[in-house]
Amino acid sequence: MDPLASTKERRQLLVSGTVQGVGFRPLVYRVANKHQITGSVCNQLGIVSIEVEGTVEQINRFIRDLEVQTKEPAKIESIEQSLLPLANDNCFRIKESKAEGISGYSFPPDLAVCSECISDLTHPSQRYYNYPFTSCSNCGPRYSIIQGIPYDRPVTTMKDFSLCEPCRKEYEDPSNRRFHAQTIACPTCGPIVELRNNKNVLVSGDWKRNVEKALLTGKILAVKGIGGFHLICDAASRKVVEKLRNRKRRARKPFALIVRDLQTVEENFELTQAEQELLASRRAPIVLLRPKPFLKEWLPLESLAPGYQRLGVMLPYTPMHALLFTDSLSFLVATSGNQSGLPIARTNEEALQQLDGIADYFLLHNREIGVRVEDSVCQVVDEQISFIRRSRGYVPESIPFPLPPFGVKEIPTVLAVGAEMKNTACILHGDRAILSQHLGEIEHEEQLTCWREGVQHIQELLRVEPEIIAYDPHPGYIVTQQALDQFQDYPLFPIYHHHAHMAACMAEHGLISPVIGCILDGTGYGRDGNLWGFEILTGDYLKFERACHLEPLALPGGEAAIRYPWMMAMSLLYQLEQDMFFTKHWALQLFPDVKEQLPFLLAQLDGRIPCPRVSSAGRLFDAVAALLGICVESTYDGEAAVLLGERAEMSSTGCLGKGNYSFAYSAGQWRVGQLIKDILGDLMLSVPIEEIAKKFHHTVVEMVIFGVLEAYKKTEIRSVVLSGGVWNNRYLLSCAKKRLKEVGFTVYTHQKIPAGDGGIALGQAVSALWRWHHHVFVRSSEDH
Amino acid sequence: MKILLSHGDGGSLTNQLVKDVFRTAFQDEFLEEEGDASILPNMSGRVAVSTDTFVIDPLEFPGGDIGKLAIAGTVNDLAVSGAIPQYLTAGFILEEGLSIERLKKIVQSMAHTARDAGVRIVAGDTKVVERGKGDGIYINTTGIGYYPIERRLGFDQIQPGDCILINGGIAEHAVAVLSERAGIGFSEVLQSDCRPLNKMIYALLKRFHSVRFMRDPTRGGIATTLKEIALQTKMDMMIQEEFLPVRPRVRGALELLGMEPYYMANEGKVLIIAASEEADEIVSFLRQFPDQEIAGRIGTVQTGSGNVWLKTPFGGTRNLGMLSGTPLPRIC
Ligand SMILES: [Fe+3]
Ligand SMILES: [Mg+2]
Ligand SMILES: [Zn+2]
Ligand SMILES: [Zn+2]
Repeated sequence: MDPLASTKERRQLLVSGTVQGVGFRPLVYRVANKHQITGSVCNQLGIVSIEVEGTVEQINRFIRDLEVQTKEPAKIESIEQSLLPLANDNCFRIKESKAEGISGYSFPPDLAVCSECISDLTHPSQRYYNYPFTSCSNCGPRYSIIQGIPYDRPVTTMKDFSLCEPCRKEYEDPSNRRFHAQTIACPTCGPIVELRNNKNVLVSGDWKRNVEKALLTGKILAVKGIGGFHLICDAASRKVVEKLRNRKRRARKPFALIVRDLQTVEENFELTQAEQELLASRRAPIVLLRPKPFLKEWLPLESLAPGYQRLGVMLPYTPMHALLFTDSLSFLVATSGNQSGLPIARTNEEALQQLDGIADYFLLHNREIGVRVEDSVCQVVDEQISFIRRSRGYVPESIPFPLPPFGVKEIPTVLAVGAEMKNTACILHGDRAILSQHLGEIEHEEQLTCWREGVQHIQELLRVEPEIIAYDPHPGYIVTQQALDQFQDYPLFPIYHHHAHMAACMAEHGLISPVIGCILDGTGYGRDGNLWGFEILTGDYLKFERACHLEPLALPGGEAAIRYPWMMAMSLLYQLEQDMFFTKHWALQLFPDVKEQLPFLLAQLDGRIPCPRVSSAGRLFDAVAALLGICVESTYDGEAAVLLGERAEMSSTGCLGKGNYSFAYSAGQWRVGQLIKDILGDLMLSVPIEEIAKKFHHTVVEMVIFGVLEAYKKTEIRSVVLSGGVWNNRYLLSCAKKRLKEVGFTVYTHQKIPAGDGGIALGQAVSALWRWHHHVFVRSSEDH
Repeated sequence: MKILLSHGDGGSLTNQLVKDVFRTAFQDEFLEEEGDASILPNMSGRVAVSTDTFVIDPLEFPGGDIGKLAIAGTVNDLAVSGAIPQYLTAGFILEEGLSIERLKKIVQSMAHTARDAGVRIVAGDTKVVERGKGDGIYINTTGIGYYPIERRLGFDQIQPGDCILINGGIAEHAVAVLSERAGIGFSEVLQSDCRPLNKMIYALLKRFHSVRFMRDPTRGGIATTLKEIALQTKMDMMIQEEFLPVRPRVRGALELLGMEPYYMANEGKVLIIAASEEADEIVSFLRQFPDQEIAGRIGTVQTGSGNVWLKTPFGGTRNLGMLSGTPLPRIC
């Protein structure tokens, strides 16, 4: 035995990671008492400082035990230790937080209600019986109510509710689950619920019973949640679901469900281990799950998610949500509470105004939402998580990224403003990247305001001001305009859309050597002024080359061709023969309803009226979906491409990655004429749509393989990153990964951030920092 | 017969052309005098002058041609400033090979439009450029008029709370031109709104005294014109998308082209800013004129900082800037 083990000493431990607002201090307290250690613990800016006094052996055991007992969502990333003089204190204390020290480390995301708090709701004798705002040191809202750091009640929207005596006792009792729980509240001292009707009149009586009655009679409720309002209704009634679609003007975009509990999910959906863990985690995202065959007898699946094989499912993540369910209600639709084009409603007043005409009742309360945070959405592909939207439950957890080499002393703070759709912004501070919550589409002034608030919120929590700005040089992006106006005197780094996608995937995996990037995307602004989106790039954070891309096609009507996939199909048919007669012939055969619209379309295809040109995978998928009659008019972002992916997955014939159409390659471009001809041929032969869809997917995979091999011949790079929204396509991702590995490449896919534009800000930010470090100052026009 | 280079050399062919084509059509005593300059009588007020050059492909489109456009454009520029247009000059740049028949038709259309508007064409000029160096025909017109009354229209008259009105459907000229390019026949109802507005505007100003400002929203559409007004006045123009008058066929065509009606050219429209008290009456007045039955109030002036806001039907607000190039999709 080490002779020094019984020597007494005092150490300071600076713990960083996700350690605030996750019950970490109470844990430290309990472990310290267990090991009979004296000292103290307190929150500092973003980290936890522990002072421990005891024998060397006691202290070491304490640290080991603390590490073992720290469970999700708490996470220790590092412990910095230093010796202190002995203080000879006689107990272990939790001290007041200090607003000093380094900032920039993690602060907690919103945490789903824990099972103990759920069980508190059900005991009539309990103080918390049916109380929708109960929480403990392991669960409850965090990020959405925080208004400053260190995380303590006075800097949250709970500050208006002062503790009653019983709550204070629990707060101060180390043996209690609510010991030092900043969000502790009870019916006596905490927030209260009220139900109002659509005339803004208070509904009297027991809110829970009234809500139950409303849901059972097919009413639509606006429910104030953690990061905004939800519209909630009975998912089992087709009539109600259709009513919600009509009122929200949301024709076909899938609705997510909240399902009563994990057991109900298990009974009704096929669940893999990974899916189950994700669903039940404190992060509580929406997970895309495959319903069991019999579920279509109980739920109107075709109304909930038309054309989909999977349904977005989440568990009740607040006590309020849990209380909405009854014996006869197990499935509720929960969709974001906003009018299309506006940010999700945050305050009671906003909801009453914005959701007027949509909601029949408003379930409100008097705890303010500090900042909007929408639900996260993810799926599991090959047992790995893949984000469609990374938001509540994950934000503001930081993402490690590779710093430029040569030990930069003063790392400047970077703000990346993100893309226009599915926007997230990103701040790099020190060695951590904070990717914001989903800020959505930035088209309207209200959305831009919400974007500014989102960015401001993170800046305030980090106490930083940006020094370097990264943006997408698309001339029409409103966030780009905002960045150029607001930060005109700052070093500004334009990062091209697909370069940013590539850099995002590199950064997520800590890659620093050059990679081959397969960027399959909707449309992004390319450096030749055209729209790109089916790219094999090579490069790193500093620069990129375009190794291979799809041949450019006419994009008639710009955004019109994105809304109307049939127009994109016509563009491909024209490209095939450059012949008006041929194009018209097929148009009338495939899309007889569009006869009247043809002249304006054809004039754009042959150049009599100008239109942009596009070389994007998303548009190729749209065109094929339209040719196959799967989707000729898109009612939401990516509809046609997603439905095509769903159909490919449905096909029972052909094994993974086998059977494809042909394509040609010349001058660095894939030519898809033959592909389209082959598809038309199969259509004429009445080959099942699912099979054509599948063969098309295989063809795209082979195009990617071909392009990657071309890039490899020039560069001998073996690392391949896959990025861009098209990779949300499960079947495509799975096939491409498999094939790329087969031909000897190392494949990196997105697992921490979305593959789509929700991840782009990380790439922008890291690329800008590296460029700043290497003095690569380029304006978009010079970046060739 | 085609235009030859020698039609522009000032020699006998030039004279022949002027006589056969221009003088026959315009038939004005000032032109007949054949002087180096036309000497015009005194005018009863301050003089207004405006000039504009017209370049358009195609030369003829549903609802008009370059000749009608050249008259209406300059007449309207004068009229919206509150002036009464009286005289016009016309300069032509012809491309070698242009059919004389076609030229005649265009010049006659000019004469017809001028007569309609009650203005006289009092001076003219013709030049010919080599084949390939012009798009058939370019026309410059300069208009002269006067201000009849001491009522000033101007940016400085605009006040917060004023209403923004328009005398009919927008984007009709642009869509007519585009449909001609797309080869959609004249039988379709997509007609240009091209027409002189001076008589209508004269009656308007006579009857309504709270009109503060007018502008013809030609190139760049109503959005660009409103942005100019906003920048000049440092006020905000708030317009409601659902109140914008757009004929359904125009809307349908623009959707296929990915273009927005408020950025599209008009040639027979006037944006009117007037006190809100008179707004309803002005609208009923405007609606009595042919093809103006969908005239309406589209928005209001507010204190602000030089922005144009477009309120969409479900509550979102867009900040409209000047149009810059072909709009690229922002959807990823
Ligand atoms: Fe993208
Ligand atoms: Mg003009
Ligand atoms: Zn709990
Ligand atoms: Zn209490």
